[in-house]
Amino acid sequence: MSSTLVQLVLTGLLQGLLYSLIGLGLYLVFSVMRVVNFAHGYLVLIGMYGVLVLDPQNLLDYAVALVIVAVLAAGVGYAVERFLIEPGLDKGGHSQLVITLSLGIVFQYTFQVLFPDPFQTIANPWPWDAVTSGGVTISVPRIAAGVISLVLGLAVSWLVYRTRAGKIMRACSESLSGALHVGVHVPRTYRTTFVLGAALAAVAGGLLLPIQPVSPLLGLELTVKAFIVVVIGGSGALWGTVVAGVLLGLAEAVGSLYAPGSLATSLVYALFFLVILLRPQGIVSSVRTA
Amino acid sequence: MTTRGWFDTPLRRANTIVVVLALAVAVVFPLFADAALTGVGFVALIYAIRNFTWNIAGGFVGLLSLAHASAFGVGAFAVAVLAWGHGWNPWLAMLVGALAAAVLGLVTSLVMSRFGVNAFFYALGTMAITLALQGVAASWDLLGAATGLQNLGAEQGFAALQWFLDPTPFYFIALTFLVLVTVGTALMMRRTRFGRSLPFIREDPVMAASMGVPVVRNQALAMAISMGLTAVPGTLMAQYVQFVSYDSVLTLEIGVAMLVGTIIGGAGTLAGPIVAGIGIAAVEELLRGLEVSSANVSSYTQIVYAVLVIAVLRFGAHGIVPMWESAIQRLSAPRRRPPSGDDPPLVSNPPPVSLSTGGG
Repeated sequence: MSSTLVQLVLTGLLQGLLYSLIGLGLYLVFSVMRVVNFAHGYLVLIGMYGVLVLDPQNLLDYAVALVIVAVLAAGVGYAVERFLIEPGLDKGGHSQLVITLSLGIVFQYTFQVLFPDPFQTIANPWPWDAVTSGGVTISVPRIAAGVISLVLGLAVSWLVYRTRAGKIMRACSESLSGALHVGVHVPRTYRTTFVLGAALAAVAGGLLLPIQPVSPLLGLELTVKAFIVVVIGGSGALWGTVVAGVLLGLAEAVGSLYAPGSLATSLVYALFFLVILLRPQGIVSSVRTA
Repeated sequence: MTTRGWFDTPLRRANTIVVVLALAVAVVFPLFADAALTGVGFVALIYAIRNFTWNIAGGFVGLLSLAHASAFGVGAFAVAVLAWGHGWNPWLAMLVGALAAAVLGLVTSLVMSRFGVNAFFYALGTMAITLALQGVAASWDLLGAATGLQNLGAEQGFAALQWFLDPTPFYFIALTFLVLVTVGTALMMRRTRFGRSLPFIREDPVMAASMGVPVVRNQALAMAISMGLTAVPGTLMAQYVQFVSYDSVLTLEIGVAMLVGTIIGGAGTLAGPIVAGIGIAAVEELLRGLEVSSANVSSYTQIVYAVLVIAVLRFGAHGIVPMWESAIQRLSAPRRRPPSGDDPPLVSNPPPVSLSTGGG
């Protein structure tokens, strides 16, 4: 019993790190550009389907495939930002929301047409299958996905808090007019942010594929989960998103122990609704000391 | 009611003619169509109705709700559980479903207002409601769980709200409902203080509140009316298909379709949601006529639809119906002089009016 629980907690933790990585891209776009990207989960799908098509047979191929899908998604992200989102940024209202929602539909059904077989996956690209210790078994692709997600999360955190580009991004996030006054090229910052978010999403998709078979419907599910992570994490700091991702993964894993699959997800959504009502600012609120 | 005001501007004349023609075509359509095509007409009307009822809260009040998918599902499950499972009269089950959905809408709106959520969280919160309810429906045996509920009733006729071979009665019930709801909404929006307050709340809730409009109450009422009415097409669809499951009537896609459909037609207009609803059914049928494999028909329709929405929003338009209105006004502009209309124009040198830039 206890080994089952340990297994679930570890699985949830690793899955949660992956959710954090997916949420990070959405968080960056949301906090820097104030755009709610309802198509974010489909950028993850670009990574999943991209790796599926490349069908890597060994670790080197897999690493190359991850880089290729990241570049591909970055290109798609650039086009989306440049031609769909940027022109409407000053219009305000709900047009961004509906445009990205529609974009998600376009992606979903395009994948549906291109890949009619649901639930496809690839063979394990890692040389080992699973690690077993004391009755607890964790598959290597899952461990690798969690660890790489964590490393990428730290890298993004370094980028945002320790580099000049990150400082510019934070400037846009904190005060748009302030950023304009000190001469920040705001559109370029927005493009960089969106491209970075898209690339992160695609890498997360590539990491997810050996663990979870891909189907077009997964895009909406992942978008929703990314929203949950970002909203619960709050707008104040990047680590809130990471913590929220881990929490979501743990809640799902432990929830599956006590409730049948779909009811567990219901509980997650109900909790999410409560968070929206009671603490819309999330775990880490954007109250600053300076 | 007099006909004064129906013919006094070119736009109104054009609209009156279009509405009368459309109604006439809608009424005679089943006489010339076979059963399959009438079925398509029925589905088109269902799309139109649910877009229209979404528009009452989403368009007029600007509440971007995805909880309406739950309302559609509540209507369908009400008839499935009460009428198919417990032998109730389906009309009574429809009424119960509508009331339940209205209560859901009322409570949702009041809770959201109580906590003062913004538009983005409104969309996310209502999305969470729909997803949570979908999860419940997917795991609760009473609601068919994963396998769904089947209508095994053999009775046919108006009382049983069931016809097996010919969908014409379904078609006329849906058409009647659509006309009633449209007329009712038009009257509500023009004749009642409540209806007139709705666009005001959308444009500036703070100003509305400061002028004595009960913003929270009216938003909640609009959500209740809107979601209650959305349950009805859910019931009709369930009776028509005779099968209900969590992934056929209670999906987020239905909510997105209502939202997107209304916006492409023209949010906050009366005709827009109807035009868009019938339009998408027509596009679906057209694609089915082309040599597209049947599994991909709805995919291509959705893609076409979503691309249209993006184009409409990207290029700054407000939907099909507003585009139509400005086109008519532009076409009729050379004949009618701007801007103060009453006295006939002094015939002097008229300003050059080009079709591409005039009007406005």
